[in-house]
Amino acid sequence: MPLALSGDSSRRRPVPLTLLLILLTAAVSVASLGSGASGLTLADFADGLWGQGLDQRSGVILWDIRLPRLAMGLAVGAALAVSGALLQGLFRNPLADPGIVGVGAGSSLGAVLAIVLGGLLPPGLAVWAGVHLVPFAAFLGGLSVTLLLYAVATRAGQTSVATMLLAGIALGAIAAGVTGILIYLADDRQLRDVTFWSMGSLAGASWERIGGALPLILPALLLAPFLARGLNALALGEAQALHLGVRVQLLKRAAVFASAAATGAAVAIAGGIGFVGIVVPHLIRLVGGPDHRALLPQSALLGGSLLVLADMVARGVVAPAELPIGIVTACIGAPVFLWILLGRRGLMGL
Amino acid sequence: MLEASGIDVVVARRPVLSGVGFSARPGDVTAIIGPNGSGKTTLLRALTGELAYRGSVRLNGMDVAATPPRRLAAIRAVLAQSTQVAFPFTAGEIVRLGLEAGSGPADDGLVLRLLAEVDLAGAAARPYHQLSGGEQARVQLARILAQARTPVTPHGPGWLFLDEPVASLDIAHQLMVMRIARGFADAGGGVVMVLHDLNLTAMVADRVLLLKSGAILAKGGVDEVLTNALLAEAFGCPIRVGTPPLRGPWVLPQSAGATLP
Repeated sequence: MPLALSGDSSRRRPVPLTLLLILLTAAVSVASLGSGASGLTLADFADGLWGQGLDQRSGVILWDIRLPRLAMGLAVGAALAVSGALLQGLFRNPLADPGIVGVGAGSSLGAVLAIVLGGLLPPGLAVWAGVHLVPFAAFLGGLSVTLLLYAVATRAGQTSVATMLLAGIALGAIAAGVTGILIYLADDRQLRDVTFWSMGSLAGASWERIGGALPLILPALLLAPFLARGLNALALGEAQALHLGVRVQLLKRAAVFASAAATGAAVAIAGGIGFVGIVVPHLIRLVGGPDHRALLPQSALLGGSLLVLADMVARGVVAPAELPIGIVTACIGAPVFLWILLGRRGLMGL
Repeated sequence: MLEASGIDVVVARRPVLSGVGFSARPGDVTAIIGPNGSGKTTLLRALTGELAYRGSVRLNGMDVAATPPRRLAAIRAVLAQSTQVAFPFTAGEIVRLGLEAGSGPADDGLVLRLLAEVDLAGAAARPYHQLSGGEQARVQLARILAQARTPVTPHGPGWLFLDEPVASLDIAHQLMVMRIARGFADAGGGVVMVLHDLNLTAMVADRVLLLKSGAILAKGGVDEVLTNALLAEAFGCPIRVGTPPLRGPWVLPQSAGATLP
């Protein structure tokens, strides 16, 4: 046999890329902690921590402003990127993105619904629901849209790209319309809450908000790796995945729930931040290949780092004012989306 | 042993298969033949549990409809007529999917050996999308062979279900597929395949199932099923079966002017 190959070139090595991304995440995190409107730098914090202790102002800035903002950036970026990768695996299409196919709009509707109608809950229940109400409502909104979308766009195990994108636009428009009605009905206080929330920013970061979203984001991120093998098989179609031993219905439900939970919670605490879910997995696939076992954790790392980086840009370009981070991600993400679309035009017959 | 009895399949309220029953033995190559729309692919999809059916299908004694996919995947692999791959996987990664789904010992070299076996040595790192149609079909075949890498598993004989495995292949690669199927059966596994080519059927099959309009017209050995009368009745055109000097019958289509026997 004319085989002079040593080792198995069919398997790509995911570790160096994962390691690189961990280093990137660490570097970005450190840089983010060291920059901000107050002008305090890492050196100031380090001096304080290793010396006589942080003074009160520096302490508040580090622990209550910069750290929660960093944590929220990492969590939201990871949630959006993994959610995108899961949706793309589920729809077998690299163009599926929570923001594009209407899942983000569904989450927004859920969140606004909770803000405007949350006051109608019995007081005891409202207190009990507390910080979890808006994230959970956003999760339910995203889940509903994802389920509807899958039902509309999938026939006999194959998903039509055109149907998926068009149905996503329609469902997103319906969700946005209902959201508009709710905003019209809202009173002044609720309006302020909705406006503040919908700006799409990490500026509202607090440990309390993060605590409200983590019960949805963490399980989704932890569940994702268990879906990786099934999503790899699903790339060959539902029938082939079944023959490869995958419980397809269970896999699809888990992917829908995980991506809706992650998107919902991210949208609930950070507003509409687009394109992270499409750009990040695409970049990972370009460099490391499409194997979901590497793609999902690597997307989480790159998504977190990129969002923190985008947040630094949003804080930096018009300092001391802040650009909404959604504008930054859209300026980078939309061209990448077009680039993917043009590259695949021939394949999709669009 | 594959035992199917009383298989009915209804698609969109139209009966596609009615009352199909047969059995296939490990060690045999069983060919399913018949005209377009006779239900060959539907039967294969029912046999592999992909399609809902009424009736009973038992594979190595297990009820296919009630067995978890994972356990089925350990004893049988299925090659579809065509497979579209969603993301930019390499040929080697596709074959590896089969490796992970099957059971039995596997080493890292198996992916490369199987690609070489389907005449794709050195293609492991090539993107699947850049391969020709025939090459893609052979990558999928290598994936199936990786999944069913042991013709005899700890859970009984292994099985290959192949739906038109030669549809996009040139004649040399068609013969290669037949050789692989024959080898798998000779090593103790079972092979069930849908074929359009009656001469390949005559060459490789031990048992033949002839379908017409969703029902079995004939089943049995090659000599019993590949006859002038049965083939003409199934396909609705005059067909002559002859016997060459070497071995096995051959089948010739007759010109349009000829009449049914």
